[in-house]
Amino acid sequence: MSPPRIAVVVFPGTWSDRDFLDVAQLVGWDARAIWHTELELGSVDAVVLPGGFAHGDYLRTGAIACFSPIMPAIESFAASGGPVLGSCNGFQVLCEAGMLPGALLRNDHLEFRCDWQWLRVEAPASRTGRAAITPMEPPCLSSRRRSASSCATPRRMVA
Amino acid sequence: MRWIAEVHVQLRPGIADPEGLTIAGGLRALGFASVSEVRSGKLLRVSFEADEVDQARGQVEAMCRRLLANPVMETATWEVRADDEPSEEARLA
Repeated sequence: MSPPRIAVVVFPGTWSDRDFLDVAQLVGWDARAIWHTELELGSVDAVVLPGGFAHGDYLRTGAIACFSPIMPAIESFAASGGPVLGSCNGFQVLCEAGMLPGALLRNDHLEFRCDWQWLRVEAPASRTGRAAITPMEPPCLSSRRRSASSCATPRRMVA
Repeated sequence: MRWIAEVHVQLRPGIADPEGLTIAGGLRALGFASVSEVRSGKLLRVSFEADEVDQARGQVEAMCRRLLANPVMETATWEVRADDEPSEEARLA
């Protein structure tokens, strides 16, 4: 069985792309970086939008990145059921692009929070049928954030 | 002809504005005890070309809708005026 192929999208100002590429290499996945000006993802099983400060976070976080040439390819990949992970800044880019509902707001307590955070697994089976995480093993991840409060249209909320 | 749009982008009423809260706290700490609220925002000055005023206004409206404000959490108010001043390029030429 060939290893999963992962595209890690890099914008000017992205900083955790190397983390994702290194981890993918550690677990034997076939990951490659994709510069934001590319138009095609190629043949991949999943796409990662890493964290950082795409385009300096200017205007609004993710506002400029969501018009990058690579974004239409990511949107059509997601629309066809492809898994897309947005981490930190990448999550905000997905919100700005309208691929996720809502927007992220600055923490109202004026603190930069850094915690371990338990997650609830909603859909354990991956697209390829391989369970990456089982509900028996709730993942606990390190979370560092300046913006975490979310704000969505009344019909849909994201956490 | 050239136009200048001044676009004010603000968080919608009711959306928490930690920057404004912090500035209000700073003003009160300086002795401006009567300050009850500060709301922060952005002023964007956009210079651009359009044939006539309706076209200019239409362009600014589209700029706000497509990029300058996120309607989920922000509002944009703007005004547009003809730019009578020589451009930076013309001054340097």
